[in-house]
Amino acid sequence: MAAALLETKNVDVAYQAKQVVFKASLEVQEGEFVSLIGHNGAGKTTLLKTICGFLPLLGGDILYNGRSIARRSTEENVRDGIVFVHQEKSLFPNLTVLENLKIAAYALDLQAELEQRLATVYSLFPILKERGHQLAKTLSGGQQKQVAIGMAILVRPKVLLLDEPTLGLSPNLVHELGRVLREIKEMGTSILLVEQNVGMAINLAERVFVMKTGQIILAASKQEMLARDDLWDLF
Amino acid sequence: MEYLSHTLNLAIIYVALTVSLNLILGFAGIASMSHAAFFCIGGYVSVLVTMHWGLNFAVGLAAATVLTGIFGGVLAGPFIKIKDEYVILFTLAFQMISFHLMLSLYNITGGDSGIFGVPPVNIFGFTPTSPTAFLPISFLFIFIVYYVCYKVTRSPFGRVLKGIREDASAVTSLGKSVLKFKVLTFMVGCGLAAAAGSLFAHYSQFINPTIGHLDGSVLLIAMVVLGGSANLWGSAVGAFLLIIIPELLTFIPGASNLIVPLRSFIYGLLLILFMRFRPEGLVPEYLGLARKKYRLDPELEAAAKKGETAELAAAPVANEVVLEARGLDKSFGGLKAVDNFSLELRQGQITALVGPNGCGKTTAFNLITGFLRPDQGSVLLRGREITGLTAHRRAQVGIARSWQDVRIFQHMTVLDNVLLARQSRAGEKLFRLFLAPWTVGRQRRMHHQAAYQYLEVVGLLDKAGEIAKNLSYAEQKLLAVARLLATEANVLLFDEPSSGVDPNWVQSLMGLIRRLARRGKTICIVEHNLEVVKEISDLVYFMADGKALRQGTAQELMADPQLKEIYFGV
Amino acid sequence: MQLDLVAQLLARGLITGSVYAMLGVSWGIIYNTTRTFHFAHGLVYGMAAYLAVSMAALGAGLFLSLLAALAGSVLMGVLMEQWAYRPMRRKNASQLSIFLTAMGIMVAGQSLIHLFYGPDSRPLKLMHEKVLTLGSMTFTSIDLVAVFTSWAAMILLALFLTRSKAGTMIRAVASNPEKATFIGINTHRIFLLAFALGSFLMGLAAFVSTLEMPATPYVGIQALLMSFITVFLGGVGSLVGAVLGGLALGLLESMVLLVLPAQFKLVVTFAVLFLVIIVRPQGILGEKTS
Repeated sequence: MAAALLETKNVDVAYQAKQVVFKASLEVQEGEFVSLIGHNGAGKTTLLKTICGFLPLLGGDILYNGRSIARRSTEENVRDGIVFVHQEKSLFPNLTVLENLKIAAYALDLQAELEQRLATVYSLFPILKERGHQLAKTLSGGQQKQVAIGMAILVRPKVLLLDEPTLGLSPNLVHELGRVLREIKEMGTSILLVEQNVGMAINLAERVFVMKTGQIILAASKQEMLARDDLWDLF
Repeated sequence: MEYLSHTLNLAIIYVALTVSLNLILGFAGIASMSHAAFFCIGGYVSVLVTMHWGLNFAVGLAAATVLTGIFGGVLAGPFIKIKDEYVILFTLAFQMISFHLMLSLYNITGGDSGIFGVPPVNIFGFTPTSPTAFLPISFLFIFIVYYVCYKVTRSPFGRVLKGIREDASAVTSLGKSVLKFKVLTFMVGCGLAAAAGSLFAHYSQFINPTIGHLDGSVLLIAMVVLGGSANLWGSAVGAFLLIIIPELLTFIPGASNLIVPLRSFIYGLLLILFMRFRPEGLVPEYLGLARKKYRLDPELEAAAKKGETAELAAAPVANEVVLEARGLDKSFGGLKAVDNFSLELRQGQITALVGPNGCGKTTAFNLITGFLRPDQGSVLLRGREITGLTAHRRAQVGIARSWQDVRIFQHMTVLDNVLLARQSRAGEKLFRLFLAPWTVGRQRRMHHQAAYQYLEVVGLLDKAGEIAKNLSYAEQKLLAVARLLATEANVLLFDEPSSGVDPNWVQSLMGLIRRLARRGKTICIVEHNLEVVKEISDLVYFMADGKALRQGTAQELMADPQLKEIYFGV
Repeated sequence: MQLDLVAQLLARGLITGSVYAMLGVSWGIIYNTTRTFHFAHGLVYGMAAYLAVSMAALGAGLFLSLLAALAGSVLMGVLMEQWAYRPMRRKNASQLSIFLTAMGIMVAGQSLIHLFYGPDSRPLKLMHEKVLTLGSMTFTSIDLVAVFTSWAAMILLALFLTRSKAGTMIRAVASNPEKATFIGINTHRIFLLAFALGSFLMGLAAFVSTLEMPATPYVGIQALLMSFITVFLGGVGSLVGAVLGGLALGLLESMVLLVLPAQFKLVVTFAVLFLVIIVRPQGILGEKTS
């Protein structure tokens, strides 16, 4: 196998005295869709935040394109194509939808290609074009999710780190979101998805990692995961 | 000589003021910008009482202390629970109103020119005629102020204050009203400031509103910060330094008209430097804490090791419903987080709440423990309605909770953490602290004994003297359990007991929880680790979309394909 | 007669209110963006006033004095953020510690002005003052300048915040600072920008006010108090709220004279603040936060 695009090696993370991630190793190949599942509090979100540079590592290393990014800031990572989307509060409530999208481009000095990139976002989420001048906080939960993901897509990330995007969405919105995520992957973006909706996470992914109490206890292909009937035991 | 004595008298009054402000700012964590105002108000109350009715100084002093204290307490009520910024704003507003009102109401206060001819201090006929003769009175005064502050801060009452500084919610969960403790402390602080004002007015035989200016409040804050917040000796040091330094300036020839600005410049500069480089002040709160090790009382230790508490051992397990929630509803901004949720907790059983993320478990938990108010529905304890009780009242009647992120008091000893959880201690009541010290003393031993025993139950007795933050995370979890037990609550709710504990420790923690259930405690856990749920729960409620969808044993629920689909989406 | 008085007070209230609105916006943009209780903002006012006075004394004209005052203000604001607040924030200092630092800067700075310039008031005579009347209202030409400057500055700021890239970023950081970091905005630079803008407005307010009222070493504290009272009255998080708060405060201050003697002006101002905090802590236009 070729060297992974993104790789964590024995990563330990702690909040003061409380260690929440123990020796976590996973990798994401170029263009791959990887899901990370596990019970709540298992350390999945923490691991994502650590990858994107928001939380410091206690031990281990993170490689991106074969180089260590363990000490880089979030800003540097974003510029280099590693983009994180929070499960909630992932947009600017007091800015309009269009401003939300534009600011993602502004932050990285991408004005020149703005129109073209906005077009990509609108092709995925047509509603955002209509709602452009509405304040983001007045949108429904599902539409806010679209803004958040739209902002991430706009910067054309190499790796998209998604933290529970389906949280609070109704079943058909979840389905719709799944379709969009697949499209994003088709555009060549690697995705690392943390998700409570295990069914969706497995169906979308090519590979699945399972985390439990801070450790990665299983790595399996989609087919292997689908064949298992002991899901309760993994949680 | 007289000059020196005069300076000393003034310095002592400032020490009293600083110590009393430290009580408010340092110990209770209330950012009061109006201490000088209370100083001035106290002075005026005393002056007006003595001059208007021709009463003795002592009456004036008492009136100033009590009236201003009560006034402060009434004033403090509405603002003390809101955020720091607003407390600053609120007290600042009061400071400005008070000063300008005093300046404007010259019929009463004499306005700018103040009131002359204030009767001198007179104690049992003794009237000091010179600053030197006044010194004994100053020393007596500061001794009393110190004694009061010492009592307030180095007592079970003070322990609660310290707990509030570290984590107010945790204190609430142990059955103490944070508001009550803060307001009482504010009252005492204001009362003492007023007493200092009274002494100052009668000593100078003059008063005007200038002493109640904002600058005075700022200066006092600087003294507290410089000396060391939440350390009484620090305040003495801080006040002395900030009085002495400017006094020295007066000896610089030709500088006389620069003294005022030079003095404030020094105050300001010291404030900046200290906040930046030594925020704990000259004499920090935890001075020597790291070195000093609490030594266990061997007698109590032996008793604790012999057997666990009688209550824990002997409680009969009747399997009756102890706590009941009926039809709870709770919405946040139109979103129904908990929807017609009902549950029963039985004695001796471990009941678990599980469900996918966002299903309303935590909200339900907070509704039961009183940290949130339901929009509808009721909570009953042994058939008695308790829906209206606040979180700390619920802890008092026997419903105690733990926290996912432990929230123990990091800077206290292990023993103090447990002692803080004890209920209805005389030492936490200001009146009894001063008026019934024998009761406080008698109870002390009793509470220590209980604390030792609960530490033994969780296996931390030999760590009783350690500072809590030095414990490992798993030990901190155990300490949280000991603290929970020390409330003597019968209904215990654990929020994610296994989270953050490494797998080897989970077993012993779960064993402990099971032991508690066997001894008659009523237990509810919210837990995401399904393995743990399967292992220790007798009954599981499966929640989805804010409702209790199904109940049964863990095995039953996990065999249900519908629940599997809800939980996993497959 | 009474009606004339009302009209006159109304005019006075609107003039003062306009300047208060600018003061409020100047503090508000800093507070909303950085959540720093910038108590040292008053020092910017004092320094700007004295810089202008010094320049005028050296023979500089209106324009040059204004320029010096503004440049000095911006520099001070930026330096305070860079050297005082930022290091504290990085140490995770509490809101209270940051406030105390700010208070230290305010106190020390004012005393420095006093030490350098002495206690006497210093006028800034750069503009000829003409008394104008409009019906029963009298005001001066400098009043007009102050009103015009305040509104012009506020409108320009509003345009900057809504139309420019940097302005949008400021609003983004105010709206959700954590997300701002995650999309790669350098919040440190945005904080500096907020301080620069706020200090610019404060310097401008100091300049136009000093044209009419001589500077004293402790003049800044008054401006400071008004600047943040305005914000808390109008509602934290909303600059429109700050503008309304400023106008309301100006009008209140002068209308009070109808019923109370002048020395109660401040008492009433603070009493209103006091009540607003109790009754509606989020201010007139502010949003409730949980």
